[in-house]
Amino acid sequence: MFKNILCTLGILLLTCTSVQAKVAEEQIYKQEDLKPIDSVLKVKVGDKAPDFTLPAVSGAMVSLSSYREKKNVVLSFVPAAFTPICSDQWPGYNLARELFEMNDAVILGITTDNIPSLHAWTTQMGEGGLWFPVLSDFYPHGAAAMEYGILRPEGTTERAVFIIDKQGTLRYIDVHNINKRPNLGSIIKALEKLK
Amino acid sequence: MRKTIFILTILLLAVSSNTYAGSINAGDMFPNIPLAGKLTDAQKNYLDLKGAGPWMLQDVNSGYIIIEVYSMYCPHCQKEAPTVNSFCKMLNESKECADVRFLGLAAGNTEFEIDFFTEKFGVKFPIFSDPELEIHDKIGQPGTPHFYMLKKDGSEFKVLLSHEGPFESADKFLKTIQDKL
Repeated sequence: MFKNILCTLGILLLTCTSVQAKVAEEQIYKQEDLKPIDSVLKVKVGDKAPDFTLPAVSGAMVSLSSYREKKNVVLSFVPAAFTPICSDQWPGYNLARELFEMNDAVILGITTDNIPSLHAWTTQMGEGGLWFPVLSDFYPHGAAAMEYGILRPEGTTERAVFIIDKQGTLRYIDVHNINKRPNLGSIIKALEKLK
Repeated sequence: MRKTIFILTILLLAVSSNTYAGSINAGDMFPNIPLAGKLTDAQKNYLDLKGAGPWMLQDVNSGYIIIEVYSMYCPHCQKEAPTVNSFCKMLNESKECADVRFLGLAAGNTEFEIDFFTEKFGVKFPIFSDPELEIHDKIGQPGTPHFYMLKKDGSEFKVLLSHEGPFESADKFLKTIQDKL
């Protein structure tokens, strides 16, 4: 009898643990809002955008300057792979491809995660992955983010959007509250102003 | 010893039931959420809403409501959008479902993002906005997509079905809805 009670208790414990594991995770996300911005921006609208060359998930090395005279560039820095807001921000941009392309713009998605993590993460974002390059600012850690002044003390970047015109000039900066998603409409309106 | 086990069991049960505290399930009353959004006259007629809004859920004049909580940013919602459109068409053509209305709640999306999604997928059903996720919080932060089927109960709406994730197919989901009427 005593053994039966123990077994029942064991099963109950397992059940509760699995339920809590899922829900507790969601609660931690909700409760753990980060400091909205925790870095000091080093660039401003009108500056030449600091150049960088970073490895892409595709295996290529991508330089910002390679788009000069060819495309407007939207740099979308997000804090980290496999985190809630980041995990849906780029799928939204994936859906809205035509809005970027009709403004002659390409997105460069950047985080400080390594390539394998970014590969595992972005391949889940839709069939065929993402249409824009995803770059790893992993090593030297956050070097590009540091140039822009958006590397946070914990080693992730801010949730930030920079728009750079074909001349390589910064035309729009939104270092967003890290806990919220930037408004797609504001980005598209800023791109339309480049015409 | 047995007393200790009994107390532990009660505590565990209490903790585990607390984890469900925020979610809305079949049998619960659905909160009378505010509805705000840009609706065409046809959409207002469909829901029997008057004026420019915002309205409340209980202003919708129908026996049943299906609410899809979705987001433009959610890949599952993007992928399912054509199927949801097909389902709505079948729902509106079903005589059995004449008293059922379908509406979308765009969790965390701005008007711009709702407009883009609507245009991209040719969505005809009314969509209401929740840019700051206030309503999403109020209804227990469901994942997206999430479908609720509600039934009028006095002046309130009672949850008949709470379905998380994409549905299997338009016709199977219609059958599920018809079986609940």
